[in-house]
Amino acid sequence: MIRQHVKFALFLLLIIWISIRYSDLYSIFGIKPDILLVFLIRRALHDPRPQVSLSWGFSSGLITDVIAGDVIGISSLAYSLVCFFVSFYKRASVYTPSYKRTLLYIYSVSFSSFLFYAVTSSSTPFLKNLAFIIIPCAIYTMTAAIVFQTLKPTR
Amino acid sequence: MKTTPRYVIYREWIFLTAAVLVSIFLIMFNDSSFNNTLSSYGLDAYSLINYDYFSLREKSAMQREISELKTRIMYLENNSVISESAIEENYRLRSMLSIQKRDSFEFIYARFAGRSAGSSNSTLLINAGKEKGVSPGDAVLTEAGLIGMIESSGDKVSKVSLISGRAGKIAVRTEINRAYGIMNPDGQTTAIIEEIAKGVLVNAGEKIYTADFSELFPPDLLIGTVISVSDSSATINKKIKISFAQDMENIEDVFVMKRVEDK
Repeated sequence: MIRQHVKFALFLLLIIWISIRYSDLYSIFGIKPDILLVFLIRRALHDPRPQVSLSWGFSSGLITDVIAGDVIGISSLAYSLVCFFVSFYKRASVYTPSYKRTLLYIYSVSFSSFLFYAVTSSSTPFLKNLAFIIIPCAIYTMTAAIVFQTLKPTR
Repeated sequence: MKTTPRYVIYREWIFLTAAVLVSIFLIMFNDSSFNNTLSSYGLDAYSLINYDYFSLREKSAMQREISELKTRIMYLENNSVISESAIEENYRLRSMLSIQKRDSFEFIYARFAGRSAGSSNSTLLINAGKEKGVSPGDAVLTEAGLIGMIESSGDKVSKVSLISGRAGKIAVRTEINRAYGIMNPDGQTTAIIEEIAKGVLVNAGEKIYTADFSELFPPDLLIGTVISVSDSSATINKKIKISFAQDMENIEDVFVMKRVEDK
């Protein structure tokens, strides 16, 4: 169990490093997917313990914010809430069919994107922020989630 | 179906509340010294793994760059000889008239070391920190113009808050009439300038600089160029749209502008 936690922690650190150092490589017109969120949701969908998922979300969000974030605490808030409720839902349902999982991804990514960019891009007018940052970023993150799901499906 | 004990559910909700409260506390006190200290520790940790693995350039490209730089140095040295006598005369006249001397600055070179993971591109990491004398509040610019301000600095890495983000609300002036206004970022590439009266003539293509009285940035640093001017708003002021001189997506080499204390 501890070994799995250590492996996942190292994996998250690698994802954080890639998204800080090399995010330009996969950014399209300045829009980047939140790959860290995708992996956190995948983990939360595996683990029906909201407290554990919350810890992963909070700590990885805080690390990202502390290193390169504009507003410290916003990623940890968004990731904590998303991870907690995804795990909570996972525990409440015996079987999650693919359409429900897709909806769960859509809700989580949209919520996280909205919360994150409503604060960090608050200087941009709201509708412009919504049209040019929040929605494209959520779509790109969803696309990344589909790619990862195709490459390595979660049950 | 197995049900979760009530005390476990309570404990989970307490954990969630604690995480949310801590996050909100950090957000509310974002500019506090505690957050800056936290950030500088984070930057120190990041500097341990920050190495530019993929920037090994070809020899021919580097040789071309060196020859271009040598040509540029020759051109600038030629220009500096001409302007030196003018500067000396300017200093002499300023001291005769008892006008305060302009602040002098030194430039610290740094390279891109990362950027905020999100799409808002509001922060940038550079590979110069306290060891090179970089400190919070220093202006950061590229060859094209001003890009932001040091938000927090670790020993080897510093975090720059870009003018296309939260650090973008600054006092600016126009090139020709030296009219002062307040700039507000309008996205990654553009900003809106307000508080310039409709009577002041501002043309598209005119350059925008930092204001002389700005407490955040040194004066006369290029910010961008006017794209459009609108007089149609119901206020007495113009609405001027500018594009930033530097493309915030493509930043490689930067200079930190550090004020030098007169001895």
